[in-house]
Amino acid sequence: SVANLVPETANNLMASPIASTVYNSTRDRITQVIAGELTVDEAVQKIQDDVDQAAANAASGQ
Amino acid sequence: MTDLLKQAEKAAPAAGKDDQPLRRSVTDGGLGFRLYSAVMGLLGLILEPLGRRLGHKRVGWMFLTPNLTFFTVFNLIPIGLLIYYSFSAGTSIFANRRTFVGLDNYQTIFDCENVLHPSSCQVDLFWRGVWNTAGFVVFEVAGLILLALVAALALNARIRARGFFRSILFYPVLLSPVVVALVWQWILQSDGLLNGALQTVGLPAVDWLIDQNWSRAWVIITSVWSNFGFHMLILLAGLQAINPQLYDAAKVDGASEWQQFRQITFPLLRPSLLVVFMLAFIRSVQTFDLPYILTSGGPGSRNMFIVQYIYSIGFATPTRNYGLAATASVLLAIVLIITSYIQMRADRRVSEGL
Repeated sequence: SVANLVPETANNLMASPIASTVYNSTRDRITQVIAGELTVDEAVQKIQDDVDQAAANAASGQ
Repeated sequence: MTDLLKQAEKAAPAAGKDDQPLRRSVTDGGLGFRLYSAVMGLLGLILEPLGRRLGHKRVGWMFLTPNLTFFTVFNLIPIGLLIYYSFSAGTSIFANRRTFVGLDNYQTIFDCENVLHPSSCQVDLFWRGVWNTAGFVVFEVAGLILLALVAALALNARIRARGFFRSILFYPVLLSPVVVALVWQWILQSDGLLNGALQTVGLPAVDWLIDQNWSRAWVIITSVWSNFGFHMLILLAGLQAINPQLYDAAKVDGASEWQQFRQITFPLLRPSLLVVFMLAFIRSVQTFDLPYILTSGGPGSRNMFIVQYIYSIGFATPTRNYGLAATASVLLAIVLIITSYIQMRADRRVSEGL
């Protein structure tokens, strides 16, 4: 699915208010997987939860 | 009786003569004293009519007003805003632009299958911070009090260069936590001083700050090392307040060193120990700078404590979740208030027991 990503998505993500959450959450959750605190599946779910939370927070602030 | 009065009358002029030099020294003081008297007189000119008009109690309140205003603006109002933020959502820092959501933030934080397993919680990092902090507090406070007590007992004895050792053990308290953390980071990193020393004697290097258990141990050790000097001074003052005749009497009765510590030193040192415990507990719950600089909260979230969570969720990301950060802060404050109340009750019991 990574190969099917269109460039516009990546460009739009950079300007998105939740971009930093995507980057930071990916970094933090993968670090937790490496440290043995989470499984890969749990980390993917947590990244999704973090992004959803950030999106909800950004939407309520508009 | 008459004889006694006559004796007093004979003594009175002599007392008056003795007073003369003292009275002269007070009334004919130097420039500093005259300036002081002038300032006090000027204040009296303003305050005495105010006191007559408002009453002396209200004049006292008038003196308190500047401090109370400062306290209200920089303490009470921010606390009130914090509590409101915990019931609101949005990315704005202005209270009037935030959306009131009631207990949503609290429900989000407590949305857990099992709080003992943070992975089952929606906001797992909060609960990881809570349990990391709890583990840190237990070992750090115990180590702090033990080391401070041992050092205070050693430095209370008549040893050579006692003043030098007191200064040396207190110096880490004077250092900034950032400096302490950076220095220890340089010592403990993979190519740091400690690993260099180990490899010099043929031992393998250890990833002190990457290993789960060693990283936590070193956070505790560095925190205890940098803070125990302050608590040592408090206990030292408590030890010096104990009457040495008690120890002399105990020696006469044939008491051993351990018996003297258990029956004399420890009971009389309990008020100071309680003060040290309260201060150490509150400070360790609020710890942030040293573990953050030393480990950045890692490996993973092993050394991420509750204050770092509040900082990361509220300030470290552009989409700042002030609501969740405020909620976590309120919960932390509630825990500290409850523990402080319990400790104050214990302090009162110890004081009454003495």
